Order: sequence, then C-alpha cells, then structure tokens
Amino acid sequence: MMAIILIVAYFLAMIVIGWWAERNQERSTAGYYLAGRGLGATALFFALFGTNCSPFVLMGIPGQSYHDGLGILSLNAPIVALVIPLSFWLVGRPARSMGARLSAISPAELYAKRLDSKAVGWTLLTAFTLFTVPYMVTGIQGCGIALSKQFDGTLNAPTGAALTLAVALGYTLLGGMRATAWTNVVQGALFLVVITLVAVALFGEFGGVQAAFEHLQAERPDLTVMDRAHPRFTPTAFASYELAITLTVVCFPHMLVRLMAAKDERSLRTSCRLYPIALALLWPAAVLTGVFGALLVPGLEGRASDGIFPAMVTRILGAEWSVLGTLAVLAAAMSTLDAQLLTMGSMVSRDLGASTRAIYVERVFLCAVGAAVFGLYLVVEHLQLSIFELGQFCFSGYATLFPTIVLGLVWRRFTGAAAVASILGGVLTLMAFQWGDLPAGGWLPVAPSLFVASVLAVAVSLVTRPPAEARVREAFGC
Amino acid sequence: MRILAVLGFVSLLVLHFDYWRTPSTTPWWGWLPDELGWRLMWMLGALTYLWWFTGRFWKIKP
Repeated sequence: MMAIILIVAYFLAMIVIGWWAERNQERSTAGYYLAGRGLGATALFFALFGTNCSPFVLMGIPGQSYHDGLGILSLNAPIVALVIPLSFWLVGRPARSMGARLSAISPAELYAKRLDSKAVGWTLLTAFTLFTVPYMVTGIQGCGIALSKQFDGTLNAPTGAALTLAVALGYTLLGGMRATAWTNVVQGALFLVVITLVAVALFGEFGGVQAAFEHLQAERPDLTVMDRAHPRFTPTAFASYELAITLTVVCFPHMLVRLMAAKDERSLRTSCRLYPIALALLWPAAVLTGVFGALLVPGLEGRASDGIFPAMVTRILGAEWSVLGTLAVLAAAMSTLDAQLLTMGSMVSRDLGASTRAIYVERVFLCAVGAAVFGLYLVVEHLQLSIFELGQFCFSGYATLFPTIVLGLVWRRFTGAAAVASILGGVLTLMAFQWGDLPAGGWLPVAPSLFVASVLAVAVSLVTRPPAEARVREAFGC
Repeated sequence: MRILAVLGFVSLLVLHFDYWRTPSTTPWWGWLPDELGWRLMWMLGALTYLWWFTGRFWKIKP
C-alpha cells in the first residue's frame, strides 16, 4: 500500500510542477522550449545532472560492478567528472551565446543556421533521431520492468512503461523546458539521496567502512582490483571506452539544448563547479552498491545483476522500503526521458515545420514523438530485440558527431559540406566496424569512426568554399 | 594561464591512463583498495583543477 501511495505521490508531484511551470512561463516558442533562455544556476545544474544520469548509472553500473569490481569505477567516473564539466565551457558557452544570436531553438537548427545549410539541419536531425529514440525506449523499458517487479507482476511491464511515458509527457507538455528543469531538481535530489543512503547503510551492515573493505578483501579480492588482462580493461579498449563515454555526453542533443537554455555564463560556470561534486557522490556509491552486492546477494548470473540495486535496497532497508529503489529508478529514467522528449519535439517541430507557431501545435509534435517512442517500445518487446547492443551503437554514434558539434562552435572556417561529410563518414565507418567485422586492432568501433569523422571535418572544410563572412560574424558576434 | 590550463588537463589525463603504473597490492592504510584510493585521489585532483579553472581561467566578459 505504501508503495502505491509513494509512487502516486511522486507522479502527482511531477504533474504539479509541470502545471506550476506552465503558469509561470513566457508564452513563446523560446519560452516553451528553452525556458526563455533563463535557467539559473540551481535549475540548470540539476537539469544537466538529471538529464545525464539515466538508469544506466543506477542499474547498469552496479550490475557491471557486481561482476567486474572497482575497475568499473576507474572506467567511468574519473574521466566523466573531468570532461563533462569542461564541456560546459568548451561547448556550452558558445552554444548558448550563438543560439541566442541566431534565435535558434533546437540543436539541429543552431547548426543549420550557423553553417547556413539546411542539409546540415536535416543530417543532424536524422542522426539525433537515429541515436535518441532507441535510447528513449531503453528508459521506459527500465521503468516498465521496475514497476512490474515492484508490484510482483500485477502491473505488467508495458503498462508500467506507458504510465511512466504518460506522466513524463504530461508535465513536459504542460511546462516545457521550465517544467523539465524543475522536475529534474526533485528527481536528481531523489536518486542522489537514495543511492547515498544505500551506500552508507551497506557499510553499517558490515560494522563500518574499514570492516566492510576488510571483508571484501578477504572474500572477493578479485573485485578490489582492475584486472588489466580483462578484455574490458586492456589499454586500447579502456581508451576507446573513455572516448565514447565522454564525447557521447557532449553530443547528446538533450544536454546541448539545456546548455542553450542557460540564463547566463555564470550559471554555466557554477554548474561546472558543482557537477564533479555530485558525480563524486553518485558514481562511487553506485559502484560500491554493486561490489558489496556481490557479497550480500551472491549468485546473480549475467545480466541478472542489473537488478542488484533494487535488490540491495530491499536487502539493506527492508522490503517495506523497496519502493525507494523503484522511485530512484523512475526519477533517473524520467529526468532523461523528459529532456529527450522536449528536444526531439523541438527538432521535429523546428526542423521539419515552420519556425513560429502556437504552443498548442508544439504540444502536438511532442505527443507525436511520445507515440513514436511507445510504438518502437512495443515493437522491441514483441521482437525481443537486444536493446543493449542497440544502446551501445547509439552511444558510439553520438561520439562520431563530436567534430561537427565542437568545430561548428569554435572554428570559423568550418563549412556545411564538412559537417555533412563528417557525420555521414563517421556513422558509416561505425556501422562498418560494428557489423562488418573489420579488424580494429583492439580498439572499439568508436575510435576509427571518430578518426574518420575528424579527418573529414577538417579536410572538407579546407577544400570547400569558406562560409559567408556575414553569417560567421553574426554567429560569432564579431 | 592557457598553458597552465592545458598542462593541468594533460597531466590529469596521463595520471588517469595509468598503464605506466604498477598497482599496489597493499591496501592504503591497511584497508582501502589501491584502485579505489588512486581513483578517489585523482577525482579530488580533478575537482581542484576544475575549481581553479572556473575561478582563474574562465573569466566572464561583461
């Protein structure tokens, strides 16, 4: 009963925030999609943090750590804690100012206007859609499973997924960017508190931090080291994964659009300071939950370990509080899902349709994106497709957009033809290495595809006609 | 200042890609695994760098 009350209360709280945001927002397209370019430091920080922390961190990372130990922390947390905050300076700062100067609402629109090329907008829209929609499906899939498990199957997974999508769509439709930013404040705080609580409580299970690690060292010494002979941790695999995980985040359209919504540069700078602190709380807690989960809940094979986080919540806090684990997963999933819905809606609306229209029409576009995501979810469920591999492909795909995303913002000589060549070349190379069994010398497919995308971006820019000086001046402000 | 920012970033990368280092099998202070201790120290270093970066290097033009 308490589980139902807390989950309903959480969903209602999200809708109320959406309603509040709707009452307090500027009645314009920029007001709806970018909160009038007025996100202050608190909302911006949580919007960025919540958007980037998906069920991958709460479910996937503890699940991987369960088998591979502390090496998963080494692989993920440090580089992310450094590079993502720096991207607020490298990408966020120019994207925010350029977006405002060119009156761009969506990421694809920003690059189409900056490079004076509709082809760039269409290519980016296609690439973003190709990589984002399956990623959204993984989010609602996780929520469906979490809700189904919470209610012992009395609520089936598709209904749980539909419910989550409906609530996220509901508050996003109501309040646009402002709603998603402020719900992210609640959601980010919620999953940060729950996972920290679990990590602290698990040390209590062993009688303290020191005793816990001594126990780990005695029972599972293999989990306390990064096995450098493991295929995941060889130098080339490690380096390629670092490339993928950092550059992917920089190129998420739903992160980019939040950076464009910053009120001022000071808000971006504050987020840059706070972000590594939040990650330093979240990632070690997620990894330690998985590592100590191997001691407390042993015997999970393969992907069954993905359920270790909810299992640990139940094991440590008791069955009556297991709902906290479900709420944390819902919060993590919805904080990403709402941003993706809004961003995809803005791109479909702005890049396929007219540049200005009534807000209710924009909401129709959002509903269309939501319907498409749920339709794909049903197909995936029916065909039992491996979303995990598709997800990996999506992340690598985002990384191949990196040369276009960065050079478009910092290099005046970068051209539209180079952007199209770089995106197409990078994605095709990725497909060739991913599915064509080409030898990559131990590197993951993301490495050669990023190399090709980078070379094409620079080479094609140098051999094609420079962009019109007037547009460059307008974009760069000088 | 720009050189310092680049040098700091590169130093952190070199310390992160630590295949040049032989991890210790002895836990720090007798209980903290070397892998965890090393990464947490690195993250503290990265945090210090980012605070320096945002305080001294990232100047906001009026």
